[in-house]
Formats: sequence, structure tokens, C-alpha cells
Amino acid sequence: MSQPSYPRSQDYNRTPRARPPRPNPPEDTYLTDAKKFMNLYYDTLDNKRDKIVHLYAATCRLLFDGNPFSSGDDINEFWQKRFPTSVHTIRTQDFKNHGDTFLILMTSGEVLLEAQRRTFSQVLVCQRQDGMWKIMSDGYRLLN
Amino acid sequence: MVNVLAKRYNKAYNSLDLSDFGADKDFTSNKIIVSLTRNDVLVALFDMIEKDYCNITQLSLKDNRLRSFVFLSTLVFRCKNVNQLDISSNEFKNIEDLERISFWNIEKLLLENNPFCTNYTDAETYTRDVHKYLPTVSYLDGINVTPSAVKTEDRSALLPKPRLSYCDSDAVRRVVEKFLQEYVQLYDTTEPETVRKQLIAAYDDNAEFSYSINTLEHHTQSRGDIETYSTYMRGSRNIIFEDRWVGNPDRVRYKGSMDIVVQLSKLPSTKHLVETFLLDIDFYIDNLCGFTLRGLFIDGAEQNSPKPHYKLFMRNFLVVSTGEGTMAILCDTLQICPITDMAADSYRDMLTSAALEANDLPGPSGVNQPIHANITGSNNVPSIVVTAPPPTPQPIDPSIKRQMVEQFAAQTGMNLAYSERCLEDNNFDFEASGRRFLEIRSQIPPEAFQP
Repeated sequence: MSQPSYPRSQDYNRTPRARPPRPNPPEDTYLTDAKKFMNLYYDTLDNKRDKIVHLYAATCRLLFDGNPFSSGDDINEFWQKRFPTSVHTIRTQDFKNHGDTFLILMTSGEVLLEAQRRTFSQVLVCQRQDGMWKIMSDGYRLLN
Repeated sequence: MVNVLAKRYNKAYNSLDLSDFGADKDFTSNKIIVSLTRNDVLVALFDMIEKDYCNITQLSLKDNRLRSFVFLSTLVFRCKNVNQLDISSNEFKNIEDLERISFWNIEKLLLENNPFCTNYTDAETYTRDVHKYLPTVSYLDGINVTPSAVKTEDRSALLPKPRLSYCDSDAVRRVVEKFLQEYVQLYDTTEPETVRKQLIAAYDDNAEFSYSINTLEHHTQSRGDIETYSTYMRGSRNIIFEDRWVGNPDRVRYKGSMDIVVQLSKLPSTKHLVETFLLDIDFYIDNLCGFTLRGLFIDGAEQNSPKPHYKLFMRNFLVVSTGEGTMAILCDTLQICPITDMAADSYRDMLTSAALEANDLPGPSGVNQPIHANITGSNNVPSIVVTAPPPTPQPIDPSIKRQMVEQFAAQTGMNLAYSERCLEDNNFDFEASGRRFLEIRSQIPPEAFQP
């Protein structure tokens, strides 16, 4: 990667204000997409649970604590009817992209399920559908 | 005491009336002194209650000279359904202690004639303070009050029971497990600076690796060894702390197999606890496969310590098949979370009950079945999937017994001696031993878990 060329220090007079700020690194669109998607997912899961099905792709699968839910309908039914009211507190978040094909999001932290505080870990694997990222594989585990 | 309890249990109301317990005629007529202010009496009593009366909804401990809520609070999780409680005429001094029983959704509460009541001159403040800790109370000391919260429907009972490692296909699972076994063996070397570089063969030339670390909000104290934690922190790419690396994102992104293994060799040495592994094969499409491994590990430096600091780890891999049964990693994402001993125990308990679930499933159906361990051969390489041996007919071969003891030890975390004792007590019935273990978990002495 070629470095941007900075003006030499002798090109400026002595006032410190004349120094340009270090240029920002080029924007990582995948980082931006990852942050946007993760915020959207947890906001929807906690506060707009009825809309969560829209974040999943046509072919999708949820693995909840080792139990598979293999269609949009099954997944939706699980989130609406069986998963308690939730408040997620995210402590760790990271992502990967494999070209433009996969966007992998990894999150962990604590979730308040009704009155019980539990530890959760989740991996979302997204693929493009009509240009937007949609979840193809959702792996959620409660670890206590 | 058992007789007295039976006498005072009212089946129609599902209630247990322990008021003025010590003065019960059964005791006085036999000249037995039973006082609920004695800890050992309370422990024995509560154990009996848990055993036979754990579904009670009404409980009275009136008039027993009780001062402390501590023991009562242990009853809260054993008898979860109590919603009417009479603890009037005792010697409770602090109303804040009501917090200890706040898990109970108490609707009717009798508190009068306790020392803290004299602190209140008006009913409103009294009610308000009670509601601070027990918001669902709708009847307090003879008066109907409006609860400040409605008992929410307990949905967590609808959650599916956790199950062990999942895979749609046994063939894929076997290949992935073998790969992970080799990977973990190299990773757990005592000399990470040199040996981890051998992992280069596991990675694709253009692979990418990053990791992140943080504590749980509840346990910011339990970092374990501070130096190790700081070493991990330096290279962590946690979006929660984006400011720390966004100015130079390439610093925390390791690209290319060489860069990756160099960074891995700089990370602290580790000892992964294979018996705690959960492997979920998320998907496989064309020649790509995605899977997530979760479990516990400890710092390599602590592996012989009697009380190591546990860390939870989650590691996602995206791999590409490179031939018959071989694969190369394209994306490797690791998360680390130091946890307390209690949290580690809680994780293990979850694994044990998931293992029992697996045994209860009907006959082999391909999907969702754990692999049965190789009972005949010696299994030197640790098995990643937590399993139980199939039920054995009587009489039990001593070598099979030994296998069962080892497996039980691996799954429960107890040492071999205690595992053998538990199995013996249950006639080497693996499932029954597991259930008994879970029942008495909180009473097992800590030395049972020391190697």
C-alpha cells in the first residue's frame, strides 16, 4: 500500500497549527457494515422483536444452544414465542469478511432474559441478498 | 423432624406451616429442643423441604425468633414457586434484607412484629420500601396494596434445553474434529514462541486472523493474571473499544499465514480444557465450511495450579477444503473472556445437563447424536465432543468401568476418585450418576475437583 506523501516540515513556517492532521486511514466499508448490522440486530432483537425475521436471508438456519431451526418460519416462531424478553449488553465484538461473499460477525457479552442474567456468545454469517447483508447462519449459545 | 414437616404440610393449599416450629408438640413431648436460630437445624430442615416439598407455594416461618435472611435465601432457588410468605413475629432487623428473597414473586406477605417495623410510622413509606425489594406484593400485613410490578410470565421455561456439539453430517464433523485436535495440540505447547509457528500449515496463504478480549460486565475483577491480560489487550480488535485501534486498524488485523502465526506465537501459552469443548458446525457450502468452537482454557503457566483462573473462549473458523479430509483456514476469529470460578462451574453444569439430554434422545437418527466414544481401544487423543458411553449390560467389565470413570470425571470436572465413588453409589448407571451429581452439586466438597 503506498503511503500518502506528507509535506516536508521545512515547507511550513514555525507555527504548529500549520501541520496537517494525520490523514484518516481509508474507510473499511466492511467494518462500517459490520457495526451497522450488529447494532441493528440487537436493537431489533431487544426492542422490535417482531421485525427480526427481516434480517434473515431466504435460506437461513439458527442453531440455538445446539438446537437447529431451519426455516425463516421456524426461526421467527422461536424468537417470537420461546425466547424471553431480552436486554443484551455487548462486551466483545469483532468481524471478518471473505471477499464480498461472507460477512462474519462475532459478539459476546451478557443478556438479561426476563430477570435472569446470562452469558451469551453469537456468530452471525451474512451473505448478500439484493445488495444487502442478510443472515444465512445464526449460532447463539448461552454459556451459563 | 420429617414427621413434623409432614404434619404441617397442607396439600390442598400446597403450603408448609413452620410457625413456632420449636414448640411443636412432637418435639416438646419428646423433649427435643429444635430451634430455628441454629444453623445446623436450618440446613437440615431446608434440605428436607427441598427434597419433599419443593413445589410449595405458601410458607410460614412465623414466630421462630429468626434474625437473618441468609438461610432463607438458599430456599429461594430450591422452592421457586413460593408466592405467599409469613415471616411475622420474628427478629428481623433490616428491611433491606428482603432483597435476598426478591427472586420469589411474593403476592401475600406478612411481616408485622419484626424489629424493623418500629422504624415506620406511616403505611405508605412502609409499603413503598417493601415494594422496593418485592414489587409483586399485593397483600401486606392484612391490607391490600397495589403491587408496583406485575409478575411476568416466565418464558425461560420455554427455551429449548441446551444440547452438545451440533453437526448435520457425521462425516463433516469427523474431519473438523480431527483438524481441531491437531490444531489445539500444537496451540497448547509449552513453547508458543516456536511451536505455534508450525500452525502455518493450517492456514491459507491469504488467511485473516483477529481476536478480541474483554471481561463480562458483572465480573470486571476476574481478569486472572494481569500481565497475561495486558498482553492479550495489546493486539485485541474489539469494536467496543474501537477508539483504541481505529487510527491504525492494520495493527490488529493479521493477514497472510506468516503474519498470523507470528502473532499467535506472541500470545501467551494456553491449556485448553478439551472436555469443556462445544463444537457447532454452522454450515458447509461447496468447499467452504464454517464452524465455531467454544469452551474453557487456562494460561499455560497455571496448568499445574490447584486454582487456575478460567477463561471462556469462542473461536470461529471459515475453512476451505484442500483435498481428501484436509482443510485450510481462511478466516479465524477468536474471543476471550476471563470468568470467575462460579461462572466456570455454571458452564460445566450446563454441559453436564446437555450431556444427559443427549442420552435421553431416542435411538440413533443420524442428526444431533453425539459420537459414541471408542470403548474398546485406548483413547489417547482427547475427544472434542462430550459424550457418554452406551449403557452397558450387567455384569460390568472392569475395563469398561474404568472408561466410565474417566468419562464421568471428564464431564463433571471431578477427580477420578470422587467420580468412581459417585458411579459406584449409583450402580454404574451413567445417567443416574449424572442426575445425582447435578442434584448434590452444591454440596460436593471442593477437593472433589482437585486432580
